[in-house]
Amino acid sequence: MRKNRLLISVVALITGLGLVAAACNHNDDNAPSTTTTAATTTTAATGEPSATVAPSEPSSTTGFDGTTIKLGFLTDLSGALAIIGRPIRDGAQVYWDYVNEELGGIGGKYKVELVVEDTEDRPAVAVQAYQKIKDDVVMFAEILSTPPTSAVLGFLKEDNIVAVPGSLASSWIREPNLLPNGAPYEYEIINIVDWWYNNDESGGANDVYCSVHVDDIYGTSTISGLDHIANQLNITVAERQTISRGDTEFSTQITALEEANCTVVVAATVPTEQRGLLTAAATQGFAPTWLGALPTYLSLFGAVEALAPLYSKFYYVQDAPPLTETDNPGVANFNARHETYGPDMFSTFSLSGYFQSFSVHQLLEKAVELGDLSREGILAASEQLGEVDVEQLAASNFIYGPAATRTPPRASRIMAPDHTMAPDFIRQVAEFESTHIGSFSLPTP
Amino acid sequence: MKTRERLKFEDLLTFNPVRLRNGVIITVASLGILIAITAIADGGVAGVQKFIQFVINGIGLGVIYALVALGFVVVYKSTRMFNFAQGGLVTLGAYMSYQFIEGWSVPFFLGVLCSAIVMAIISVGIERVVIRPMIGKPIYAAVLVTLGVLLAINQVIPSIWRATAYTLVPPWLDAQKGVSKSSEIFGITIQHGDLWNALVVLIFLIGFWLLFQFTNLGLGMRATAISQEVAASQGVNVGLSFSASWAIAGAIGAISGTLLIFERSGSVETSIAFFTFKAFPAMILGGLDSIIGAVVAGIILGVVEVLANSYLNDVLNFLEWLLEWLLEVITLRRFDIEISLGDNFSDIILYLMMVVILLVRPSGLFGTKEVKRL
Amino acid sequence: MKKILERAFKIAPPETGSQSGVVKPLPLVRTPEGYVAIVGAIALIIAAPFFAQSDNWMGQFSNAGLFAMAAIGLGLLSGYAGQISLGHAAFLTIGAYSAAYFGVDRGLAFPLWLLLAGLVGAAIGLVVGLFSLRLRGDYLVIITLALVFVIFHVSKNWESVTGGNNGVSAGLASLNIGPIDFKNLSVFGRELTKNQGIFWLAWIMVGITALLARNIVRSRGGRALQAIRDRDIASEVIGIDTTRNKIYVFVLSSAIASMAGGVLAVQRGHISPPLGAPDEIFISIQFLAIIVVGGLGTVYGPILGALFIYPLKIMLEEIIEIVVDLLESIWPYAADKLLSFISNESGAIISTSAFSAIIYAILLILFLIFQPTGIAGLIRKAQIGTRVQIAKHKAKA
Repeated sequence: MRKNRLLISVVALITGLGLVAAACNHNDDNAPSTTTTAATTTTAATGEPSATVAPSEPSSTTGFDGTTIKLGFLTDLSGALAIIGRPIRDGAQVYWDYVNEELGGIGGKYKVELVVEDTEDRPAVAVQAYQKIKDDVVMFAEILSTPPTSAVLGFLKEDNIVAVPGSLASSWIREPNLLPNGAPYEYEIINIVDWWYNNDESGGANDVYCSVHVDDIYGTSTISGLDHIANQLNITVAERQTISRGDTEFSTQITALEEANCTVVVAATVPTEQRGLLTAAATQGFAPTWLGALPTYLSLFGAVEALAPLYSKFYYVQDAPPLTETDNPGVANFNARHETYGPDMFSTFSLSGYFQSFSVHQLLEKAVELGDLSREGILAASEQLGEVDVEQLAASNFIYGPAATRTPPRASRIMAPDHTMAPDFIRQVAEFESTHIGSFSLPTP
Repeated sequence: MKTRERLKFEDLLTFNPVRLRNGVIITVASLGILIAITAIADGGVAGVQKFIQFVINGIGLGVIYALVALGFVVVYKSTRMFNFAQGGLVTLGAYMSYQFIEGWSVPFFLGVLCSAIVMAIISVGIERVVIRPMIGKPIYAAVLVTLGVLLAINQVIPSIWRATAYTLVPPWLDAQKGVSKSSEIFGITIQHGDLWNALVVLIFLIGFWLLFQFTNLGLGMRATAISQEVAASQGVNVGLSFSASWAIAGAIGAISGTLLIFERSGSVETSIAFFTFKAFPAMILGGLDSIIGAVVAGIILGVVEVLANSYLNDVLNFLEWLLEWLLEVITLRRFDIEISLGDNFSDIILYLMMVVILLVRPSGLFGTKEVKRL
Repeated sequence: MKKILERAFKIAPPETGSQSGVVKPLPLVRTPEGYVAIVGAIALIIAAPFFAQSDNWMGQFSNAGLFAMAAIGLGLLSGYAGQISLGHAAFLTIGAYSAAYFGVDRGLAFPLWLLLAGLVGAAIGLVVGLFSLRLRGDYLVIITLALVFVIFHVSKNWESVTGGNNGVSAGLASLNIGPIDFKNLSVFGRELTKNQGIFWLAWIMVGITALLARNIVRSRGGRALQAIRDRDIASEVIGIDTTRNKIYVFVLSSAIASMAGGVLAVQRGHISPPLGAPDEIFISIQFLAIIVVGGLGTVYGPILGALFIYPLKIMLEEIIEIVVDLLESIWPYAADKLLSFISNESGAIISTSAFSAIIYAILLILFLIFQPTGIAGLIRKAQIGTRVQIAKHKAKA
């Protein structure tokens, strides 16, 4: 028996070591050595200095073998954000399938392939995943959520790689290596508060404004949008409360808000905790109007009829129109393309992945037009990228350019949950662009 | 000795009158201090009413901590093994309940029962396959095996349920308001959900008492806890004790997981497992092997968390004022002192309280004192 | 006067002779195979950056080295002194923030900030060590969890040092020892990458830590620790200062982990609070797995454990890819079926990383069931086995 165990362990260890060796070897075969990579990129850059003038065929480089362009895609497939991360990947895949099948690829001939890696929404894992595939791809089409993005940002700068952040933090906009896609959370908060303030029906000028936010990087930066608009409109924020992710008991926060006689609560929270807040408020008979940032709401909750009373005075902001608005060309196209290329399981988050692919598509077209798909080439192309048309999927378009002069979209759509409006259970209440956005200064790195 | 023989219930749940007294003193003293704080902060009938409301909400939260902690304690009590896999059993149980109730449209209570039975079977399976071989092996390795089980369960769940969150609505939901039904007594709201949670904990307490007191199985489990070798030599089926404790832990996992869904405002998601880390202090504070301890400590911690969240800033302001005043009296100069413990300090107060109490009582409030031998 | 002299003479240990009360320390390396292994390992470490073509794997193995270093410290604490800690990752965090503060904000030189990071870790280790005096076994395990929660809270709220939720950058801290810059090494005219440089630095640090640990273990102090682990009251009775020894080992292991965390932070570049305390608890669990799989009560165990456990998950992912590639050339139908089940692509049931995490957990469990004494136990058995074979062979001859 004892000998047997020893034997098993030895065999296990040897197989383990064998596999280790195999794994290392495998990687050596596939990934070009860093020194050679650096060499090719420099020759590509120096070899075609006048590429901007005379368009030529892009030569093969890291992540581009002359026919297929590979894009890195760091998303959460098995962690706390997998519920968002998986459909975002599916949506992006729908977009690229459409590009490959119906447009023939970038520039009509170069097919696009996604290299998906799992970040588990943990910064350390995201860094590992980044290191693993960075020498196989031309750029990253997605880095989901704020903490993984800030963890990878330093490496992006070192390696001259462009990436699309899957979050809307305002600090991304002035980063040359990042290509964000929508209005920053701060703009959204400014829009929804200003919309409510100027809303004739509610008479928002007489309201008492309060706030609640989750004490992480998203919550604290988002709520700074409220500070700006409160300053502009001369309102004082009567009460500020914070919550932590994973909290389940909110009676304290609700009591504090109630005691401050708040009639409007601006929220920068996440869906589960937001629903906990709404539940605690309803239990205590406290019924303010809630104005939330994009991540406060999940269509999952809106779909349940029994919960509709909770959300009766809840509004939130987003860029995209509801999926029921089929008059919108972007929505109509998305629905049709998802029908053709999408997986059986439909999630409303697919739209974000699909939506984020527009700017990547235009960027790659630009780089191919300039004849350089190297890392430096793409970085240069990103500076020449102007306004990106998103088929009216956003209330207004993002105007790119050198990082210092980029203009993110300023208009937002105000949404309200509605349990009758499948599949995303929201209806558009208004489209709004605050005049106070211009005075909000975006943070510079 | 005589009185001790009569007090079998206490003896069984490993608290003797002295320990009970200490526990009560600590509880009353901490509550007293906190009530004094509220009096300073608020004053008046409304203040006291508010305070009682917070205590009630805290008990509601604490009962959930207690229920999760019970799952850990029952395994520790009969196997002396710290079962980290319990967090996974809780999450899996929550998904299982969802599957029965929403997926297969089984009526609510029957669905939870089915889920508990299935989870008990799964837990026994885990115990037989990976825990049983660890009997007699180094304790580090055994603990690490339960951690391995936790890792595996955490990744199996998103694979089966396609990494999607679901909602589950409790039968005590008030359809008009979208929240749990509640009753009002003397201006204090009591949620029916909390009552259900408390009832479940009570049922488990009585159940454990009956099990450990009146059945051979329970006796065997107690014997196994004291010494596996001695128990086996006296004819106790040690393996059965192990299986039974894991089966119970699995069933508790399913039930606490289901109730946690409602506490987590109705969403079935993998992050439920994180909540179990918040239940650790309850288990330690009660004394790892004490069932009544887990319940008492869970409730104390729930109340402390809510009260700290509500009154901590008032207390800090008071302290600032006091310090400024004292310094001014001593030095005749004005001071501006600011004390800040950061946002959401109540999140770690459970752990800090656990540390402080353990320093005073190294085996928790109700835990069996370790006999030190040469 | 005479009496005093006599007393002094009695108390003083006998200078020489067979009745000496002083036990000689154990040898630094116990077996001839050990020397071979050490020389081989050194050669491998020196050669690795020249032969490994993939920078990613260099990064992986330099991280594994830093984990090995911290694990040696934890091995002293758990394997020799018997104090289990589930808060070891917290010391890595402390070291990381110290590196950012002293190395970047204050701009100190590498040896200096490394020393300060160690000191900060040691100071906090001292506090935790004081708590450990009163607690035993499972209670101690959970109390180390409290440290993780407290450090998490501090890292989110002490904005002037930790940058709050935004985090801080540690990548600019220097890694120069005199003229040698480990971030930009060039050997024989060949430029090395940052990962390759840090690989060497990490493994030099592992070597120093291992030497230190081995010297502690083979001397009086190490035997005292083992005595405390096995019979703490008995060891106190025979005159071992348990209090001092327990605190000493806590401080030492914390300082080591903190220094490893500092270098790790420089390699990672940016540090921000973990997404929640559970994230750090999982890293602590990984440390526990490293020392148990490596083998408790040895110095080389944690090193082997780190080399095995740290890159295991990412290797499993690679292996899955190899298997798919192989299948594709042999039996495309099965490869398609497999990909529709395990893949990061759209439509697959389980992601590659989730699948490899499950395999990782299963491998860990199986290993512990069949080999609870770890890789070190395996090596020891193999050694004994060969000795017996040699002896038999000699007897026959």
